[in-house]
Amino acid sequence: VKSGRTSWYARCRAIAVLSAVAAFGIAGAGCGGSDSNGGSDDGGETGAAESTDPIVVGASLSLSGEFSDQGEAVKRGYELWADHVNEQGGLLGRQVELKILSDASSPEQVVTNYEQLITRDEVDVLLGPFSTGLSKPASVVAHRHQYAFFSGLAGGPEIVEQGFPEVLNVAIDGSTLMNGFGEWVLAAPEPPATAAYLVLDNDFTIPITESVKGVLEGGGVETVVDELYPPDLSDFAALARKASDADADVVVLGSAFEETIAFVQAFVQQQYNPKAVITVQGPDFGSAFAEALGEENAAGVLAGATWNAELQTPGNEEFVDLYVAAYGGSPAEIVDFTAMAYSTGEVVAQVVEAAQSLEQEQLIEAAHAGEFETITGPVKLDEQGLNTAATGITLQWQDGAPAIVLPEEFANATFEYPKADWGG
Amino acid sequence: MHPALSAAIDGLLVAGVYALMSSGLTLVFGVMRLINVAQAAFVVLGGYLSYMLWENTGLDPFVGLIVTMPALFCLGVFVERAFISRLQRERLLMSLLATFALAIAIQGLLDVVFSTDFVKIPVAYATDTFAVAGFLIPKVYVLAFAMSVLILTGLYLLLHRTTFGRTVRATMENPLGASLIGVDLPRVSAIAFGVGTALAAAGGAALVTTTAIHGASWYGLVPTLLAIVILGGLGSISGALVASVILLVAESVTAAVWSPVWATTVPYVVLILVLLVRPQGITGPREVRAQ
Repeated sequence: VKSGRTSWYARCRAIAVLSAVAAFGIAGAGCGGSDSNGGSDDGGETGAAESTDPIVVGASLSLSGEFSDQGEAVKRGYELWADHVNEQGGLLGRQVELKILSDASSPEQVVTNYEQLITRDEVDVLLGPFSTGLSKPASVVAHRHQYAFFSGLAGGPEIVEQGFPEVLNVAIDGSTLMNGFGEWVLAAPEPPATAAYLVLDNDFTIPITESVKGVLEGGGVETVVDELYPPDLSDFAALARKASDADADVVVLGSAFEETIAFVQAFVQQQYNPKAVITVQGPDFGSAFAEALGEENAAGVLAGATWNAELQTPGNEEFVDLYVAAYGGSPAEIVDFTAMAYSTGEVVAQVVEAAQSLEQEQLIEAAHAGEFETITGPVKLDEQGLNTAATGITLQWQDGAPAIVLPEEFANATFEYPKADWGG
Repeated sequence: MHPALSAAIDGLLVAGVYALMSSGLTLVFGVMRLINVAQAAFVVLGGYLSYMLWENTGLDPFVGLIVTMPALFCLGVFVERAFISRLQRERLLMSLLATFALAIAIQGLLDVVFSTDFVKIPVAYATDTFAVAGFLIPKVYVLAFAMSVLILTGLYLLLHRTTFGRTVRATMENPLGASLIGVDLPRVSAIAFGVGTALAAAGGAALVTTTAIHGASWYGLVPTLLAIVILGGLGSISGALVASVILLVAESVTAAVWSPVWATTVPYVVLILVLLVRPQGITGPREVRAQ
């Protein structure tokens, strides 16, 4: 998902890990190892409904390392879901117990953790880790053991492109997150003539910006700047200057939160006022966005997002209340990763109830067959495990909060375009 | 203005922030011969302290240094006495592990106290600029650069114009010899570590004024700070400033003129080339010999 810091060497490491997994799998097969695809001793093909032991739901999360903040947000989502389910009486009449291991943001450790969750802990249900980069090696392990892999934090297309039937990617297809914005501005009274794309070299950000670039170019918008930048860039002013020198009408940022702040700050300093600025991470981070930039410079900035506290989806209001009751603060402080994790749990609950079993094959079958409601929107998985029902939302910072401006069925504010100049 | 020149100015201004952040690292290495990975975490901690002061009192982060620098100095002395001084064997390796653990502990503390949300101080002058020959220069970076030069000059004077500075430099040049002539090495080490940590407070103030940070932001700082210290010469304060300028200008110019894809690679190529010619870094040993 919006990992923000995946780089080429991380991908090399991921390839190495995948190779190791493959080798491990061959060795395991050679030794006559068998898969435990029925879950824990009590949760197998039969007796799921009879047992009173908790249903063990396992996941590996980045509780340390560079994704530790996102990992903590995901953990909150999983825990809120489990607590809520247990308050409602559990699944199949049994309580839900989470088994969460820490992977230190490492692809190697993710593989080890999912091997442990499946073969040693024999968990009943697997939930995915944070980010596309970590979900991919984890899904290889799940595939080898034929375990249903409920992934809600992998927005990049790579995980479903593997074609594993075990991959159940609840996450919204990230590549479409900004397309609604592109289509809307093309139909606006003053459509943009030029666009600049400043994109972090990342498995998640590139598909999103490439997709919206296709929409805009298809509508005749000329690309005047198109730059990929590596993670850990120290100075964003020079890159921002490329867009301002080109005076692009629209700026598309495929950037992590702190990079969005740096870019917008540089645009303000360079007195460059495009008609629209849309980013992958920014207004969706809630109050932190305006606190970092100041309200006058946050106003009008857009984000392609998956979730918002104001979204009128089933259970969303209840989720927001649960979060605030558990962690305090305001709804604007809830990170969308928490909501995405919670919605993954919601799908698990509906699939388990539909299957009336914890047998992995039946879970996979039920997940592909059903349509599910979540706080981030509807879920319908195709044969690749891609969620084809959900659409992203477009947020715009207005009057001190992120307002939903697209799509129209969810909108609670009017799209302000062209945006006002920086500073109000 | 030519893109390369404007990018060079951008890089030069950002370099001041990095010089501040790395100066403590090089000082600690020079005196104690250990690599303090936690320096980057101290920078983030300093940024959070500045943020806390600003949020609760409205104190400008640069003015707030009169509070945050002494606070982190005390913390640094405590950390040195409590943890670092106890490393007796394999000090270089063990210091890497110990300070890495310390950095993780600091991040954990920040996550608990401040949550994992990003913070940044939106000072009024963060987006103010002034024009020089048509080029808009951000005031906040000029301020950070000026503060960097001021503090590093103060540190230079401390090291070269005071009795304490002479003991520090003697320790940097020859720890055994310094102890033989009566230098209290544990005291010098504790104070040097404290000064290094106090410098992190200044770097943190500049960082949180120009960039959004969170508890895990230190990870991204470590490679750049180490590269600056190595290029400048381990133990050289002036080298840290020069190396910051070289690396940051190289990065910005590469991004503007060639491609951002190579922006973080070219500085390391420069680093390797310089080390091929001067393995000791730009100014490191020469400064020591001059003492």
